[in-house]
Amino acid sequence: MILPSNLAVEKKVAPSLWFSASLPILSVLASLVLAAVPLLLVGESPLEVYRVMAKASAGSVAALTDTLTEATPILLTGLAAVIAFRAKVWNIGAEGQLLVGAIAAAGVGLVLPEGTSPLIAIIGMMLSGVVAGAVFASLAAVPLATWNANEIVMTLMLNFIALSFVNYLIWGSSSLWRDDGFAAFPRGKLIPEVFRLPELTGRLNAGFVIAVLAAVVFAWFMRFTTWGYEYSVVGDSRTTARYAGIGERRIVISTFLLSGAAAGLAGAVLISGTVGGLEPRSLAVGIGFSGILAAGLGRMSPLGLIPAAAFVSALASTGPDLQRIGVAPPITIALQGLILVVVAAGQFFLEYRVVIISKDVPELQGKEGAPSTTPS
Amino acid sequence: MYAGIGELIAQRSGVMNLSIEGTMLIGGVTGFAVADITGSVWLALIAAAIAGTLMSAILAFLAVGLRVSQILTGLGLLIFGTGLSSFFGLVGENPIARRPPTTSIEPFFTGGIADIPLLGPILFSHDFVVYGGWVITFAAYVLLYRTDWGLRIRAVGTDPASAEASGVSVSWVRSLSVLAGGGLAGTGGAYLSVGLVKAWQDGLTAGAGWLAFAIVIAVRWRPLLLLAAAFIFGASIRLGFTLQVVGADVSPELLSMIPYALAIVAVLYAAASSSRNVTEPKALGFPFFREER
Repeated sequence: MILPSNLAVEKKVAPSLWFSASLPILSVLASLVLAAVPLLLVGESPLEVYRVMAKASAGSVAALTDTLTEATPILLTGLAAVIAFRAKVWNIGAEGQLLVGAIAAAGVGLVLPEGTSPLIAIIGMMLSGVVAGAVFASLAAVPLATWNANEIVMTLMLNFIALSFVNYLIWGSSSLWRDDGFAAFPRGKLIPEVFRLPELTGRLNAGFVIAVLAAVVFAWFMRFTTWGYEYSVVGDSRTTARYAGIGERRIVISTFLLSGAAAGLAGAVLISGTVGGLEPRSLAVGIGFSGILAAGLGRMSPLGLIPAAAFVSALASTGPDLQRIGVAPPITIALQGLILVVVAAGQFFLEYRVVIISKDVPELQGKEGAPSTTPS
Repeated sequence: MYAGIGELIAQRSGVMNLSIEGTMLIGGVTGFAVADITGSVWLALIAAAIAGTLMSAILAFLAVGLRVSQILTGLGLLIFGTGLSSFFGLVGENPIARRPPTTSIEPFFTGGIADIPLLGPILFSHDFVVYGGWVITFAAYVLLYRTDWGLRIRAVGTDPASAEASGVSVSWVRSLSVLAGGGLAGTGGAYLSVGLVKAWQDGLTAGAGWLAFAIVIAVRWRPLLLLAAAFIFGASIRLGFTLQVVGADVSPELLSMIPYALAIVAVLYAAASSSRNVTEPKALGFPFFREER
């Protein structure tokens, strides 16, 4: 779109720190304002809706621990997105990698004899989830590195394939994963109770600690290892990386696998944590996309991701309470989309400023654009 | 097919529209609602096209105007479209998600011509929307390869700096391409809800937008190949149903993988054999900064 001729865009020397830190909050506020439009259109009071949402997600200790519980897999798929997107590797396949990780973890949990030490069983399930997620990601990573095959399409199509496969295991076959006890309504067979992650408080289980640790470890890895350094260079500029003799192909593949591993771990944590069995209706609920949203809201920082994932989970978990007051729950999904769009748009105001070019004076006058404006 | 052509034009101009599935859903719900109220198929398709164009106007403004990440904006709009279409589908005492259709699209040719063996069902048994799709595909081919406008679109997608230097406004060409693509995707969504499924339900498109996206990349952005590919993919979706009807002992869950697996094979084949291929819009996904030339 074209700007009026007396306006131009110039790059800021450095993004203002204050603005950078407050951008996610401003974006959320702007999105809440924008989402009021469809709500008003159908005659609901936005303030009332938002009040119910706030109460449902953080109104009590139980609500808060629930929010953190649901945030656990989002934190891990969000980490998958952060890892990949920072290196400009567009892995949109966290959803599928999560499902494959869940298949592997549930398989291990079901195969191991019940007498196995719970610690070993849980470690085994986590590792199998990680490996399965990475292997599934390699199906897109290797073609990307070899033929430059578009990874967005590859990972998306693999999502659908993973979902169909899980459905097949539970509904279309009498596999190891299926609980035949309910013939009419087959469901995922539950792993032994002792292999479940220990609960910390309420429904919150040790999976949350694992997820936070994963994010912290990656942040450390990125900063203090050679791989982390090369990874940042590849993310900033592929050309620079090539001149510096960094094996671009190696970094791209390892990034992709690591990203898939994080998503696979999310699947394993779900199986060993809240879900307990390969249950498509509880596993394939868009956690991969929620992760991308959390990554965007956390401004692609592994640590910023932690509060962002909690927020996304809070948004997503308010559906039942909205239903109770007669508001269609999908509005929360629309709101999530809006937030991602607005955060992305905010990046513009972070990096650029709109200046007015005065025709006769060659000097530029600085004028900062309002951060929260976006068309709806 | 509509969505595919729309995406093809947008990508040729260098903008990757990831929100196509969400745009189709918005078009689908709009189209169905308008058909429900007015009883007119034409109005439904037009309203859906407008809704789709509006959705992509947001993308054009952000991704082309403000040059923010096409991928994040696209995904955000995708989620937004999915949620909003589902939300509007559930509004009111008698939400349109539970309503039977009040109108339908009739086959274009009446009389005996559709009964010709073999050729009849393939060529003459469809409604005007399908024929419109064929016409638009050829029109897109002519537009891209035989007109100045097409040259501009391809130039902007391949080398925006050179295009800008020769006096083409990259921003305008890209914005218009994205808008056209959104309108077509909206129409495609409305055809699904009003014409094919004859009902509105959440997530009606079930990956059709994503498949369109995949096909565009698999055919390396060539419109006529897209038409052929759309046939093959349509057939592969039908194959699942047909096999089930004749009672083949294959699980429907596995059959539903076919189009996606086919898309992967096609994308891999196209990527592996693309070394001598020159159709790729090289600037696809990259924002263009006029000020940084």
